Amino acid sequence: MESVLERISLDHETKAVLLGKPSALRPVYQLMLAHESGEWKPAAELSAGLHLDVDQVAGYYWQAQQWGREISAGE
Amino acid sequence: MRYVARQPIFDRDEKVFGYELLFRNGIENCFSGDRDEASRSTLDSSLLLGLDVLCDGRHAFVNCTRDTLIKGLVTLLPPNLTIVEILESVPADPDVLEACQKLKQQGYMIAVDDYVAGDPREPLAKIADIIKVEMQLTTEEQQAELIEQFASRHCRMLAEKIETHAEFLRARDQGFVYFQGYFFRRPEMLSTRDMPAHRLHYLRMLQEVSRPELDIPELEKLIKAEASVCYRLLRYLNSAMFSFSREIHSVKHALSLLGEHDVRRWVRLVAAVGAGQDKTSDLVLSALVRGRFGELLAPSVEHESPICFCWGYYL
Repeated sequence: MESVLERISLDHETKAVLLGKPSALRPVYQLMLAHESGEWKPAAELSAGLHLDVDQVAGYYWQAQQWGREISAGE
Repeated sequence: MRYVARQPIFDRDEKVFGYELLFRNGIENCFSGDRDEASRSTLDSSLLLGLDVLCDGRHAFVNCTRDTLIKGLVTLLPPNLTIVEILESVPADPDVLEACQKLKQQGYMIAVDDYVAGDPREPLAKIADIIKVEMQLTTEEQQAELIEQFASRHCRMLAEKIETHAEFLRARDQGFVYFQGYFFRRPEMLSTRDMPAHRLHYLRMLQEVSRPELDIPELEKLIKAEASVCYRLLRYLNSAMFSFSREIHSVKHALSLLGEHDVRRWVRLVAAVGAGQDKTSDLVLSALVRGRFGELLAPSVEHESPICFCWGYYL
């Protein structure tokens, strides 16, 4: 993984998330995974930790799902 | 209805067979029966409307409680797409068995969740089409026993909680037919194979549009180097969506017409779809969803959205 990342220049924060290192963005990544797997309790906790509104975040995920489906259906 | 997640279930070729749907309403994410007639029909019809969209025409594993089963609520879903997943908490009593038989006659498939060695639900397992075994709750020996006992042409074994690619391969060797878990989304997958040249190329494009200042000549060079991207860009701009008075033939012209914001958006999209051509479509979709989710979240978490969009692709 590290060798792959060396071949592309990414910002420091994103690299840290990819390598499992502590980063300010890590909770955002975990929030994404929680929504993907339907782990609603951790999703709510992570949202609260990031000072985000739980329902709004769920709405974003739903919007993203619909957008993804529309886009990939056209391909 | 906004709290919906789906966990993909793969077959032996790593193609998506179906999804286990997880809703927030109801206890333990279950599709639980509501005693209130009105709200019940609301839930059911929204589920019905959403099912083929939610699962892209693939199978939907829908969790059922005893109550849902006996009341036959699940029959509101199409039998050809629905797999009735009977939760671990449901006992194999005569009413449950009768309900399952009825569902089978109607064309539904039955899956038994979290089956373990010496499970008291054997009568249920005997009529099941799919038996789900959680890998972390059973020993390898028990798994082999269960496979020997139940695996047949009529009953297929599903390995649950597969977290790494190595676990997937091991379960496949054991004789499991379906696989559920997030083994495919682990970054380790990246290191296990060399990145094909065109993927690296797409990554460079993504990287280019993630810069605060767009370097148009450089981007043009990258786009021109990939024929399929060139073709898509020109086809897109010449489509009915834009009614430019004359046809656009050059990449340079195309980029100037689109404007910075749309160029970034469009390149990300094409690169994400293009780079995923050798992957299952589910991975591409999940990359797109992640990317868009990142974009939407970005303003609230004080980080640039292009970076968040790229995540969908990398992670």
